[in-house]
Amino acid sequence: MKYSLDKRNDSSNESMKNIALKILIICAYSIASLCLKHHYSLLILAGVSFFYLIKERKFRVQLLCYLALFIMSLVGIGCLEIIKYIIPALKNSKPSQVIVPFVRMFIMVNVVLPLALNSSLAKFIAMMRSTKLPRVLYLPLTVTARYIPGFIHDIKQMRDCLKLRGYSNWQLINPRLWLLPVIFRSLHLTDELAVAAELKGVGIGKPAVNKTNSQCIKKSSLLIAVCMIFAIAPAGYVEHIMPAVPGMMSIKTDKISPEKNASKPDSQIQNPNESHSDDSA
Amino acid sequence: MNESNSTSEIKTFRWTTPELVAIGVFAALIRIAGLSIVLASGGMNPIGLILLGAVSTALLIVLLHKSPVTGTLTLYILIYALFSILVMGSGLDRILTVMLAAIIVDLLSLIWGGYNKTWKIILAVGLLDLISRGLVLIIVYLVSREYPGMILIAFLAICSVYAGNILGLFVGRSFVKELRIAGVIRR
Repeated sequence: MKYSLDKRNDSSNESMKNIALKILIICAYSIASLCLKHHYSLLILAGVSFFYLIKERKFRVQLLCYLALFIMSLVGIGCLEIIKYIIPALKNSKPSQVIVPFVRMFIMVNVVLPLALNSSLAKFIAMMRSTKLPRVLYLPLTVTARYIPGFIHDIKQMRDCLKLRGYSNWQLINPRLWLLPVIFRSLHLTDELAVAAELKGVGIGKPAVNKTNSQCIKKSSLLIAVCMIFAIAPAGYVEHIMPAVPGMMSIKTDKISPEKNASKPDSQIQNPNESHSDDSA
Repeated sequence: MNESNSTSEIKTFRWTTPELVAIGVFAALIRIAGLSIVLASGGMNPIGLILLGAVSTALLIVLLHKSPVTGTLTLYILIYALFSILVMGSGLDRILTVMLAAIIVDLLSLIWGGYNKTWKIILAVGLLDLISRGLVLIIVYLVSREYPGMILIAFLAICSVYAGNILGLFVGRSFVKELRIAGVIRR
């Protein structure tokens, strides 16, 4: 029991610099996942970020996120199969090309969840303020990042409320039942967060946030951040050595050339360079 | 008398803390609601796209009632794009068109006197959707003009989303009426 309480205090009292390290990791991985295109290089980042999230020991949330991503990737592959019947040019595209966006999302979920679940709003605001971003940017960004756990909590409450009123699980898909309550709850949350932010001194001048523990930084966090950022290098190397992903150009040539060739008799199928040389001759 | 004076003046690029918090909350809410709808409706089907467009437009109308400052649309798009890039690792390719549309609409709103009336807000959101979808169509045409099939599918998808956007204008208006009755929106 004592161990669990200590762990909880340890995670909630996370220092500002540890939060800054997590944001640095998010920025590095978002840029890397946008730049890298090959699924092998993205899979390296996915593996590293997976172990980064495992360290936080939020197994239930992790499993739920992975389940949602898995369903989305299955839906994406299904849609591609349907579109292949409409556009024959896409018949050569592989499922690995469809998986790439979902691998990117997998990476981002792994690096964002440790920040969203473990950092308190006050520390997060203080850290964002220390980045010297203008108030119109750091305040909405802070609220956006910290809104996810509150939203999950609200959805659970609304689901329980609707179940108590006798709605079945299938009826809960109806947007009419959850959209307006979500808006009401979000607007109330807006007012509550605005009052909390003003009480913490946001927009008035100096913050009323306690900075006594803000200067300490864990060596383990620093080591993990360095390892995470250096893990991008092998992924970049794999991207460099792997052959280019077949794109639209190859699809175009594969599609157009057989049709054109089929419309012509065999005697007329010849290399354009050869015909040019014959004409010139 | 004082109230009429306060509603007639145009608030530009000066946000209070509650307004900034509202922009952050709604940027996250619209992103999460969009993802949930895509997940529940099974991706690229027309009903899902219409629902996606309707929900995002309706929520944007509610946001503009909560934060009626000229420049809110541009700031919202910026926060939405940053949130998408940081959380989802995507969205960089779409930001340019929507940002351009938001800047145009915010500048136009200076001409018609800000967002102090419901019809002005509905007009602004309708224009934002129209300009951004038009720009997306132009870019789709320029990028994949060799593939008429791709352009056709993109055109149908964009038309579905825009039909949802138009529906969302009416839904958003009814939401605002409900929220006024509930006392959540006091304007």
